[in-house]
Amino acid sequence: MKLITHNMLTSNIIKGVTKGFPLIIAPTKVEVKEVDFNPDFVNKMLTKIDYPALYQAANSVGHGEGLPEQLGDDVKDNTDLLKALHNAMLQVEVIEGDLVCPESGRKFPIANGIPNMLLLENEVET
Amino acid sequence: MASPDDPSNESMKKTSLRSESDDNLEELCTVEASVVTGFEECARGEAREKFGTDVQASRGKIIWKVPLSQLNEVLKMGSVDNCRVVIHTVPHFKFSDQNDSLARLQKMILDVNWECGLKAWKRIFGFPYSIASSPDVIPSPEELVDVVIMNRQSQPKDKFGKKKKNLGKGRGKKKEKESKEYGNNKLDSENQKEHNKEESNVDKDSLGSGDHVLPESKEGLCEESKLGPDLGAEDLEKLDLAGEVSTPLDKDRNIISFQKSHLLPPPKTVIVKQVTSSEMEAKIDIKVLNPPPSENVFPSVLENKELRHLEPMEVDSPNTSFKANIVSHQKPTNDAEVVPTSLNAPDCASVAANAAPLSQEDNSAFDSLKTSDPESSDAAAEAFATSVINKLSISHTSSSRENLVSAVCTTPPSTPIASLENPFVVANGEANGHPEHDFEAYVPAETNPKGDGYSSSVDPADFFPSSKTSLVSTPQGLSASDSGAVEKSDTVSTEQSTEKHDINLVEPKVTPCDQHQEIVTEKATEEKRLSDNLTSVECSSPELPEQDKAQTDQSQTITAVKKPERERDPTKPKFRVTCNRVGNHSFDSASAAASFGSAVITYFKWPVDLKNFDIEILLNIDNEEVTVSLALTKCSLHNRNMVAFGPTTLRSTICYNMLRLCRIKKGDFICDPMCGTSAIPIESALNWTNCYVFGGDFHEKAIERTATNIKAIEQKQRENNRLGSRTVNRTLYPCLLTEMARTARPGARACLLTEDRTSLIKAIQSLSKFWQRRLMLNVNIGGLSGFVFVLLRTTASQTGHTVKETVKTDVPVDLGSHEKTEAKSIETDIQVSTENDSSKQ
Repeated sequence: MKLITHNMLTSNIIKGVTKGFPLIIAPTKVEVKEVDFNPDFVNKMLTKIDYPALYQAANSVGHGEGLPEQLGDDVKDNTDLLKALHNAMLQVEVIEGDLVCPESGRKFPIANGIPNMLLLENEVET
Repeated sequence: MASPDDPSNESMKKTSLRSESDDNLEELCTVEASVVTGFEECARGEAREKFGTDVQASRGKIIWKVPLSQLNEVLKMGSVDNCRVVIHTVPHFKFSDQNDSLARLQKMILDVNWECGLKAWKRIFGFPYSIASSPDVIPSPEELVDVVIMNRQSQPKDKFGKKKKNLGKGRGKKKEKESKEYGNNKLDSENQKEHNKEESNVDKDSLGSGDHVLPESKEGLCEESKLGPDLGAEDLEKLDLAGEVSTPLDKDRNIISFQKSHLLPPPKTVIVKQVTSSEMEAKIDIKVLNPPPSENVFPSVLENKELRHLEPMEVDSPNTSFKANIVSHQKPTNDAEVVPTSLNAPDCASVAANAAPLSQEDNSAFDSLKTSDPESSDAAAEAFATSVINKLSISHTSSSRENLVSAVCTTPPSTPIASLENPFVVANGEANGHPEHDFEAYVPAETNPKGDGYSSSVDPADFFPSSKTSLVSTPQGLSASDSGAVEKSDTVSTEQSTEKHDINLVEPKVTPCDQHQEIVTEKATEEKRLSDNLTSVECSSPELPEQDKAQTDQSQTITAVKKPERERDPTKPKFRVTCNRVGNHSFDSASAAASFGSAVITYFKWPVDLKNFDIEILLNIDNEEVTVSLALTKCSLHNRNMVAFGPTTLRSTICYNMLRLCRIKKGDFICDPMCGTSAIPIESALNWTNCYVFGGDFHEKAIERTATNIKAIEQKQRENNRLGSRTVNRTLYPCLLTEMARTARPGARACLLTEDRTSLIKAIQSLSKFWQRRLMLNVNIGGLSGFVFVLLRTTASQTGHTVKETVKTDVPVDLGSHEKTEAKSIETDIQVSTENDSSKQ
């Protein structure tokens, strides 16, 4: 599971949960896989992601180096920063571990790099 | 951009004299590419973008001119299945009678632009030797004429039906027609006459019109699969489907044909050739000679209990697939209702109706047969056939039918699977370690090079519940989809005579196509060879019965009849002719293909090879229009990215087209919440590289298959079942749309594919606050009518959900009235493919 994917996941669908984002990552196995660097893509993605969540996630898996706590405005041309972001968003992958809902504590296991977000009937808001 | 008449073309041609080859690489050739029906405009868009030129679209295909240098780009297109280069078109052929039409088709070879076609072909395929685009000595038109007429016998399936009908009406009738060599003809003739009297029968007027009952599925079949011959009215006379087709997909086609045809299956294929020279000892016409009186075709067979269950023809050349089909048709006799899975409704009904009266006469007929004098072979044949039919109709239970049917489906595929041209099949076998019934059918198989037109697709196929297992397990997606499509009893109709699609993969008869002089002397050897390969294609002659009897358990495949006895000239490319025919003509596609093939042999002297060919010549006859093309794709492009298939795997081409409809832009997120085997995510990842793709599914198997597919793609590079039901959809679709609305920002587009249009329309209407319908397309997938909806998310917020944030963006997305949200450009595209079909019952 790449961190950019993690950036899209929320557990708000669980009954009674209102603050289900971002999910806490409890990794047991993390890998870094190389992905072609595409600065345009990274820039575009930045407009769509929640940066603080990304920052938090990257640090929790131990790959937060190079990432500032806040994003400034001049990111576009800062290649080093872009590369760091690229690394965090697309290259770091959680292979095994859990995602934990910050409110309810519900665990979503990650197996083989794929998080299992399926809920049981009784957990879902009707 | 450049159009053929554009003067700039001229300059292009002048300036691009390459030394690379003598070819002028800017020379334009006309390319036709097949497209899933409904997506023609989409494909057209892609072609226009890629080639910058005008593109014509007609049903199921797009046509445009491509310079030779860009030919390879054509094969990289995402929205097309098969491509071919058109080398001759006759808009109004003005067909007449059979001989004349076929002769003129043969003469047409002189007008075909072989040069351009071969250049194009060479650019794609390459061949170690140069291929002359015309022979040194061009044959005169008269020399080219060597009309070959193929007579195919209908499937045993229908044979049963017909026979039963007849039996009910007095099976003792003798027909004037001479009986066929195996005596089966008698039955056929008898049945044919009966058949002809039946109103529900095929349109007899249209000779060789592909028939079939399921015109729409036919179309689907035609488009998407390479099918075996369709049987037309005239085919009633002597059809032996099994014999005629030679392709890796024989079995499948047979299965399909069974389901499609309602004609009687005479036992053997009889090649009728009207030769001008006198080498044939007698004029061989449609009537097959009687077996010599000393030949006791039947009695010995009767002793064998096992064989009793077989159709008379099967005794000689059993075809397991036929067997299964025969068995499967037994069902109707058991219940009065039409079994939707197998027969045409009208036939079934009559079959069932006649079932009862038959059984009583069964034994008596049988006994009488045993004691009958071989001399009265006609009566004996008739009676025998009748009794056999009776036996067959009664003696099988549905369970055995199931078994047999599955057997059929599982056995034959081994041949096609092993086909070289079908890497997917092999890969599938390896990659997909779950040989469950449901998931086997997706073997892409299409390689079907023989198939005309479009390769069979591993499409969501329509499976009849009862035959689900068997059909599904057919590795050829084609058969699966076709059978499914064919099986729809609701769409069965024998009345449709106008849109008969007749696809035939035929090997030009080796015998007739060879030097004529050799025929007489070689016939015996030829036949021996033929019979060795087991084929129902035979020149009728008294010797044949023996030979055929000799071969018992061979598959009915007309393989390349030319055995190694003939040394092949390696400098000559092997070829085959594939004919697709739509409309009413006095001939069938088999004959057309055979005749044209014969002309090609006369003209080029290329050897024939139905399976391992180099050049595939496509002869497309669409009512009055005749087109000759050379295939540029050996196997369809539609399963290019898939390795592991599941029950709902979409063809890559369909995925591509759906994605195109969404107008994906750079940096978009693409989400497929029900990705299954990830056909859509993979296609989007490969073609829209500036986007991020999500895929999800709740089914474990889907995840596994997705992982397999992605791995395969990563290793570099190297496809219909339908799930669900309408009732489920009624609740599923509104939920789906609601959920999608929750996670989609205003302006997001969703593209959905479903068969269950009404449910989706209702859901959209009830959720019209959130989704606006922008486009609705009707597409044809494997004969099934699919609908593609493109929806646009409105700016309305969702109530009822306390969730404030759904999709994460840099601005909290509140599907409410947050102005911030709306201020941002929103480009989230969601693609969902939902293949839902109600099972037919």
